[in-house]
Amino acid sequence: MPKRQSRSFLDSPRIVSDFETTPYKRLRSVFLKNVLWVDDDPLVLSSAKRLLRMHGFNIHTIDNPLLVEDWLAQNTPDVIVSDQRMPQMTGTTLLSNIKNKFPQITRIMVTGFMDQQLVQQSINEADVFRFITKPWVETELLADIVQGIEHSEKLKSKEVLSSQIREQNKILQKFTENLEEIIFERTFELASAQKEQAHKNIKIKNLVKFIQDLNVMKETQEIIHYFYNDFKKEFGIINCFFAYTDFNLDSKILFQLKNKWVESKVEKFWSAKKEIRTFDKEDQQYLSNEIKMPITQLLSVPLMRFREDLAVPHTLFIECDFKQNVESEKISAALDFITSRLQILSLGIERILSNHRVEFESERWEKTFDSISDPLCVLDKNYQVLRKNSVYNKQIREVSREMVEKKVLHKNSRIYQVYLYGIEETSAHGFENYLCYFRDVTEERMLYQKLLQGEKMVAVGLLAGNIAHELNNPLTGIRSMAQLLTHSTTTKKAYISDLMEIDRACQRCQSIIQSLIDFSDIKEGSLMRISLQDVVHKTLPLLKTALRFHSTKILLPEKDVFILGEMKLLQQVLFNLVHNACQAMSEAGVVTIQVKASKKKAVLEVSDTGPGVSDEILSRLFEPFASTKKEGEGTGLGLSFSKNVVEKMNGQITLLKNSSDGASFQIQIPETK
Amino acid sequence: MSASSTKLNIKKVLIADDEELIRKSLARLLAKQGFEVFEAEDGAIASQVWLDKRPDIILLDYLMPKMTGLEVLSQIPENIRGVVIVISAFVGEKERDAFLSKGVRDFYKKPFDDIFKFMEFIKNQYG
Repeated sequence: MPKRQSRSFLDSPRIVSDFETTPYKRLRSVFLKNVLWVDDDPLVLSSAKRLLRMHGFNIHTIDNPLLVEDWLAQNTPDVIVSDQRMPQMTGTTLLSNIKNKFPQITRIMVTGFMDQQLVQQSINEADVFRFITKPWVETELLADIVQGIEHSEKLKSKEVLSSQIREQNKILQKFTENLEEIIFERTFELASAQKEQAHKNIKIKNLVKFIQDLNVMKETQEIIHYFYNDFKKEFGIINCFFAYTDFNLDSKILFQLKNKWVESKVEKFWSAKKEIRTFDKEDQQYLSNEIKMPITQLLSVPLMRFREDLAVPHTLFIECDFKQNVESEKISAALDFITSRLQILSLGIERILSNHRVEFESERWEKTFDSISDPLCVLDKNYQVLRKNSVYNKQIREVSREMVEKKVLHKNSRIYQVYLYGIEETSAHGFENYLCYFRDVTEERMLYQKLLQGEKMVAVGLLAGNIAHELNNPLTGIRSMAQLLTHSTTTKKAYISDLMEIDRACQRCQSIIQSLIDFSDIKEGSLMRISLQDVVHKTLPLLKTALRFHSTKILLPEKDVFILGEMKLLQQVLFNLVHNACQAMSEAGVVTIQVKASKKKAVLEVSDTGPGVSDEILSRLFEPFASTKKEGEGTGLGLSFSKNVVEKMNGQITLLKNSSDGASFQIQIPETK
Repeated sequence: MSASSTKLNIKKVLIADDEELIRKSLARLLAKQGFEVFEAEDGAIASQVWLDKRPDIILLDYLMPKMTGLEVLSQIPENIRGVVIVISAFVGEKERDAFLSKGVRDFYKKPFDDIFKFMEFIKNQYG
């Protein structure tokens, strides 16, 4: 390096010539540049001052090198020119110091004694830019100074650049450092975001699973259990209570007891509070009374309601093991957990409860439908049976259009009336379905037949009365004629007994007719004093036909037994009783008619030797139509009529005896004197 | 002829009854007893004959076609009524009172068992 420096020094004349060619250009560029000149010789200093000022330099001179450093502390010259030989220190030392402290100031040495050693030492130690020999050539001096300034500027700009670069490097480094930090931060953020996302995904996945699982559950307790497990996994849980009101408006609690879900009916009805409550004392107390165990830390979660028609509040209680104050964060997480599931949970439970209700209702309808004792079925438009009740299955089994159109069905010796009712009407096609109802009218028809028969009998009775009257007249005529002929002198004697026979036969006819008239002529009359013996006597002739297969025992006391009654009605009663007795005996038997007086009661008894009254009829013996008779044999009204009549006379009629060898009816009417 | 004088003494009887045999047997017997007998088979005829012949004795059935005995009686002026014997199977209280108020005193129940006894009854009353 020193060699090169020396060579550049030796090459300097080239530069001088360059300066000479363009002095002003260069001058302008050095104008007002600062130059420090250090020399102990004041003459040198003043001439240098003069010269440099003349050429536009700012020159500062110092005669003592020891003061240079202080000055430099305040000022920054572009070039320093120093003398070599100074009493305080050499120029080499000064410049070398300056090189170390202010390297950007270009150093020039002025010396009267230029030798190789000095040059070498100065270059090596102080990195001197130029050497100027005294006495100097002005142009050379100026050129050297200008070059020095240029060098200094180069250095300066180099310095600026490098410092800029350094600064930039610093910034760059800082930026790099920041970038790392940012990247680290971002990476961390990203990681935690990913983690959070993953967490969120899990949450969502759990929620989705919750929804899916809840959807297929069939029982409330399944849902509660599921929620319970979910909650337990995250937050820990001791017990879970589900208070709800079912469709019967029964309030119930579902809870776990020894790992089993138990349901119990309670009195309390949880009203529709909306917000989730933590540690509700009232609920805690109530529930712990219910399960006979203390409860702490209860979360009361009212479930949401979506359907107004199922508007009964349900509440979920969760007993947790939070440490109340310490883990309030956990509580809020738990509340978040609950809130995120509340709607789903509520929907799930509502779905199940409404399903239960629908099932219950439809089962009830089905049972109702099934328990109707008349056959029922639901038909579509094509007479296909859609539904049927059990009685339908037993009694009807099939249905056809003809049947429905005929409206009457005879099946298994039963008669059904068929009714059709339209259901589910649609405006376009009329009814979609029909309810087909089979009413068993067998009994009704029978009763109706009997009633008809009864009416016929009444009509026949009236007719018999009329006919009897009509017959009486010709019979009287016949008798009169027979009597006339009997007494006629012209009549042959042989005919007389025959004519008398005619007369007697007519008389018999008349007496039967009279009985018939009396019997059929049922008019409401007043009560009369009549004797029971008389009743028997007057009724017996009418019973001749009925009694023709049986023997009759008539037991009448000699003394008349009187009652207040109506002869004809009592005759009817007796007629009925005897008639019944005769019909009850399928084989020849004995009918006993007895009249007696006992304890102020007039008693009339009719007994038979038949098989007795069957149990089937016994309970409704005196009710209308409780008859054992086949159609055409009687009206089935006999005993009920008799009961009416006897009660009208302040009496009573009873079945006195009923056994397999006979029955006995007794009439008791207050006796009158 | 004594016939006309006897005719004057002969009592006229009207038999009003819808039963032919009764009319005929009564008519035969009464004729034998010397009565002059008229027959009517319903109420309308009875009324007409009654007014025409002015019988002394009227055997009046109650139930007859066209008019009842009571209706017939109410058409006959009091002065020409003669003796009325109501023959009937059944006469209610009301009818009985109505007959009595019109001066009828005798009722004979139909069917009568013995025509001769009935004849005795008539002869006893008006013989």
